[in-house]
Amino acid sequence: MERRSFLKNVGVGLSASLMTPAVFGADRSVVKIGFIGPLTGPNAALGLGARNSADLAVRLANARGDLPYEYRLVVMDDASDPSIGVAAATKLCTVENVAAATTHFNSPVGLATIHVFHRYKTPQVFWGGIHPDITNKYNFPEVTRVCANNLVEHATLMGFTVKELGYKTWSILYDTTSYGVSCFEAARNALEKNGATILSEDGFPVGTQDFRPVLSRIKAMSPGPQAIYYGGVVTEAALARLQMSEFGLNDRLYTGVTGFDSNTFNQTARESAEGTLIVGKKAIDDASQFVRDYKAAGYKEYYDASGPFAYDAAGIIMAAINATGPKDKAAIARAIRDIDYKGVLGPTRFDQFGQTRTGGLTIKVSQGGHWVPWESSAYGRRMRSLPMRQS
Amino acid sequence: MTHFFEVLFVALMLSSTYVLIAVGFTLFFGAINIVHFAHGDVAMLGAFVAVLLYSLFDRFGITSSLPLWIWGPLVAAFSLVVTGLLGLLIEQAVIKPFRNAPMLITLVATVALGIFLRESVRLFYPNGSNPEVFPPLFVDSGINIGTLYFRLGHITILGLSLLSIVLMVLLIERTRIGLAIRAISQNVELARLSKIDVNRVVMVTFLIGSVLAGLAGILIGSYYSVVKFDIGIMYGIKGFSAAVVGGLGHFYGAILGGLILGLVETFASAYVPEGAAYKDVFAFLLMLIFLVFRPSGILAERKYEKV
Repeated sequence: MERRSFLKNVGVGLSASLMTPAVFGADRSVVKIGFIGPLTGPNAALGLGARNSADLAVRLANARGDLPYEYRLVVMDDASDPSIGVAAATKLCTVENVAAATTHFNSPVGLATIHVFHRYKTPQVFWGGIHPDITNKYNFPEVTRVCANNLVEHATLMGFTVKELGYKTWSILYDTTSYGVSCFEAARNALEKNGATILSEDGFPVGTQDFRPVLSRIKAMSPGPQAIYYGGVVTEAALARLQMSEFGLNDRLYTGVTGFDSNTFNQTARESAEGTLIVGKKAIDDASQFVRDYKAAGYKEYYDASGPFAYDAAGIIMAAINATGPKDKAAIARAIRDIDYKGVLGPTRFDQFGQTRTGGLTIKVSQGGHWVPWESSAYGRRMRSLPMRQS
Repeated sequence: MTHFFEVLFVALMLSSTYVLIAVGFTLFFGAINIVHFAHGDVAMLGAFVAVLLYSLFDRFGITSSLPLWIWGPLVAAFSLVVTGLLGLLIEQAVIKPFRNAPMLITLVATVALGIFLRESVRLFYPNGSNPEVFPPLFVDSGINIGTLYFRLGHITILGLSLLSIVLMVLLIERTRIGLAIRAISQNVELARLSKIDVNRVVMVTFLIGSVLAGLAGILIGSYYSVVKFDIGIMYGIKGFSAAVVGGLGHFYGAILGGLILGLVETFASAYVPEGAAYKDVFAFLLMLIFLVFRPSGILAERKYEKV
């Protein structure tokens, strides 16, 4: 059905080119590449957008007709759960025997599955998951990541909010998963480095619905924080924002990183979301070829913040396989690490840990129910003001 | 002082959720000596029924043609009726067949039922794995009382919870059906000999317990704005813990247990350094302490076999 609607939508030019592999497809061997992400659960919106984007990369590659292989994307759900992620990774590496895979939004899932991909020597390119240990701790040759890690994200966020906007006093909230704790540590280090003062630090078990007791304490502080940071993912981040409004804490900046760069945040926090500032995934211009192709393909779900990363990750995998062939997985892994790839994110090159040197980030602000890049927002252009902005 | 009262209000909201669920646990245990481990999932169903009914009201234009103060309570009331009927169905289909079976069998059956209910919502509700935004069912403007700030919607649901607990007390203490529930709770054989229709009383017990769980579900949805298919697990365990702390089978014990559990959790989050990360540890430590040192709970008078 999706295939049919895709063909219907892409227009005459692309349709003509799509016909080409149907003619020559029989001569090309099929190479399977894997995708794993949260297709259900609290981060499903991001996962589905990423799945569709990886799928788009594969379809467009197959439609070119001049590549040596025909690619097939094998999609698995990790439901943001490490145990489900490990099962999915094992299946991809054994039963499906994929040549390589692009994986995961959630760091705890990625921290578990890198060992699976390493055991089966299967290249794994992360389209999400920002915990530094994913690439740095073991430096498995199979593992690379096309998005910035959370050290970079927090250095960018705190550099901007403390140095540029002048927020000097902070309260930190975080979830107690490995992702939340790594965000907390990165935020604390970046704040201290930028000379800011941390007034409170509170961790919450993941799945916490009630942040009110701690928010009430923050509200009672004198002098209270100018900014409140949340290190965690989208549902809890939105609940904390909603409850800040209840307590009249709309006069503080609320901020975070890519963990809640999803429209789900704006939909759940509703009007309370307004003025929330994050370091998000690189914003992609609506007029770009990627967005036009995505829309033409007629996917039901929005590509969301991680879509372009999954699109480029799939592109990098296919470019490496085109160069090395699908059989020698160690050669594919080496080719991925050495690649100089130009995609929708711009150029991507990896450092000695397999971490992208260039992974795009954009400062975004919630405006009118959407994430808007800072420069083009009413806040960036000083038509609206952020709470307690000091400069 | 403002902080203290704000935290107290939050604690009362949480406590009333636990009380509403704990009362069900204690009613079922009192009436027919069962621990109904799917009871938290019945609360989850209550919340999802309200979301579904809201979608229906929205589709037929009722939410736009009538004011919120009419359709909101209507959605809540219909949800409670549906949840109560679901409770009756559960009693007839899953509990009644095991009435004379060993307690362990009923326990396993209700655990299985809980999984069945959760997975059904996850699989058959559209995007059932994802958090579902709960519609505002009550007028929700802000109110300032001195330095304190409240939401009218929160006060309404807290008031409804307190009202339903008071009504429950009156029902148990002042009505014939309440007398019958107390009678079978004390001695089912004697109650039978006194011409009390035990089957009917058990059905009424499940109806009441499930309606209260449904109300807890609506309270959770309205207060947190989001519901999810698996919220019943934690609320079920906490509600059961509250009933154990207060004295399983003792009506007032459930109220006291729920109150204590909510207060401990919330004040630990607010006042103990790093307390928010350990709030569940405090709550379950409290239950463990009671299980070890006073397994019959604070108020329980009757003796029962341990599960």
